[in-house]
Amino acid sequence: MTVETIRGALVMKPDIKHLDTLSAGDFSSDCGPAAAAADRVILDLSLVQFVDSTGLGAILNLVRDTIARGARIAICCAQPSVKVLFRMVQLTKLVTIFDTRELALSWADN
Amino acid sequence: MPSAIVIAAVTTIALAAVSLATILSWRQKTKLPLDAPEFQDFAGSLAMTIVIIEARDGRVLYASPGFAAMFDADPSGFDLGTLKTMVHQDDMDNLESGLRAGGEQPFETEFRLETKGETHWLHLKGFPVPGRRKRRRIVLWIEDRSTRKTEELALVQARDYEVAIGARIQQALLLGQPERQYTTFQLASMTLPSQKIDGDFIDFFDGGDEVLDLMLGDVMGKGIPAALTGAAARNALTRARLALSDEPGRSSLSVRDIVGAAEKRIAGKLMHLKTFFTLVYGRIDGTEGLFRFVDCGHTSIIQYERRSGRCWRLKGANAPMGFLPEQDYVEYTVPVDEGDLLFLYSDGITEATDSEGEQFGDLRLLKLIRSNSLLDAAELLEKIKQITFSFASGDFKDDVTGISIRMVKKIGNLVSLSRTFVQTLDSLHPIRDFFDQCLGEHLAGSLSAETQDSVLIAIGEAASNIFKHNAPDEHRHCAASFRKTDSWVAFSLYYHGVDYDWQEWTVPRVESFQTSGYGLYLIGEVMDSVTVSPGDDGLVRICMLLYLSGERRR
Repeated sequence: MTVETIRGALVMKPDIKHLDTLSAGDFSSDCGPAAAAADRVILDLSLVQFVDSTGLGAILNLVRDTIARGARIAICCAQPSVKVLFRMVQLTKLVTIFDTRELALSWADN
Repeated sequence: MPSAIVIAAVTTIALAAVSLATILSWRQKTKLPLDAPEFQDFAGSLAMTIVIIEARDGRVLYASPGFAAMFDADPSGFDLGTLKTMVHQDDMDNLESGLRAGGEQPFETEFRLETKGETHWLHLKGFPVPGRRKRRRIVLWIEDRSTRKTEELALVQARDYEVAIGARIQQALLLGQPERQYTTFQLASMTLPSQKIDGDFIDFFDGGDEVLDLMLGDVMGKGIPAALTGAAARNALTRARLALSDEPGRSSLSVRDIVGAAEKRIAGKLMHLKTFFTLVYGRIDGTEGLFRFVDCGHTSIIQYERRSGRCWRLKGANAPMGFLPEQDYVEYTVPVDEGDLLFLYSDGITEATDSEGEQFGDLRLLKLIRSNSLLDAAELLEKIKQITFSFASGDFKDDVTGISIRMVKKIGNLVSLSRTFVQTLDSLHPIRDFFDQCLGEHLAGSLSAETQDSVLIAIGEAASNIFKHNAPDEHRHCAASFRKTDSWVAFSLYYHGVDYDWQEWTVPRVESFQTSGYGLYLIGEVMDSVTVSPGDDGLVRICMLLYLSGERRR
């Protein structure tokens, strides 16, 4: 996973094709500590082609922990197939999803 | 001294004489007065007699006074030959074999004796006793049970009459017949009435072309109330179907709609009467190659699937009708193809009990159908009837009702692909890739990209559930099957493992950070029908079906 700080926001970009039962554990152990100190977190899913319910659970854990400590989180660059899942579970009720990283960074700037 | 000895000897002899006289006198007093006229009258008035015969030739050695009245013959000179002329010919073999064995061991039998133009039912118990010169003798205790037997026979006749009336009621009120034959499937039905009137009901409704609706129900309890409830249930379903089909503007009539409309007519009344019935209402579509059904707490439907060579138990999730005032009925659909069999039945078959008290059971029925999967519909039904009848020695406690359907035509434009995988989590991506490839090659023009993505999500969830809930086993394989026609597509997974409740899902609440419980919800949201069917040998089949036309489950 690539982790970088851009304009003060922590941008995390998992370099996996599938965020599912097989990879969700690794995703959580990488993301959790990386995001622990950030007050603005952007999850860039541009490389992820498939997310299943276990992967969704890992994302929701990250979102919950981030919000719980008073920080903000957004998701960007989700592939169409991943957006299908987010729409089905109405993830936008919890977290803003941007089509591009730039839009997400603009959100983080404000 | 000698005089003392003489006195003692005389005294001893005198005492012995007195004792002997006393004993003789006592024995005389205790001797049974068998020859006394009073005893003779008493013994002669009893409907029984005691006879002692020679085991070798049946010659009568002794007969108590009741003999003459019972046999209308003098016991002297009476032997087996005489007896043979008086015993009903159907009972002679039994009696003879009893008497033959009677010199060695006790026996008991019943036979009819014909004397003075009348038939008497005699009950006989025989006990071997030793005789002189090592000859075997038999003591026979013979009782005339004609009165009791006449009453028993009258009861049997009355019961037979009731069963006959019950069978006629069932035939007239509870058992429908298909109106015609179909070219894409064979159909056969049967009902074997039990000893009491029951509430099993079946009916068929022609749906035009190659479509047939059928129902099989089983009312709680027995007797006239169950039969009347069965008639009312059949009537409610028939009228509900008729009323819905007459509704202006209605283009389709789903199985779920019919059962729901019938519920409105009868569920309240059933609850008021504190009764219920189980039901399976199905629709076979021979052209589309689909079987749709709503199951209200009935026994599983058995599907023999030719492509897998296995039987699967199709089961729904609704409660019997009359349990609840209102239910949201779930309709299921499974593909059926040439060579497949469907068997709908009442629990009279699986609960048929042998002399040891063991039930016939689901597994035995599954294996019976699987091992006779080449028979046509009527032959299979006859086979099941014979086997269960023999298992229960013809003594069914419940009605035995069954409908068998055999698909005899290939489904048009069917695309069918399958692949096997090792049953470990490593197969998760290959299974998804297999279905992704199938979708891309065969459904690119029929399903939107978004629907294809959601289908892959659902398939991934199903596969993931299988691997999560069952221990990985590199020596076992699971199979993935893709089938598509012009109107539907089905994705099936076959695996070794547990059959757990795939229907139990609720809409997850993402806003409360719920992090699990999405899998079954996603499968249920994407697919029009999901059936999870246990088979024999620990196999389970999950079949997810999606309609390609406008027809949707909800």
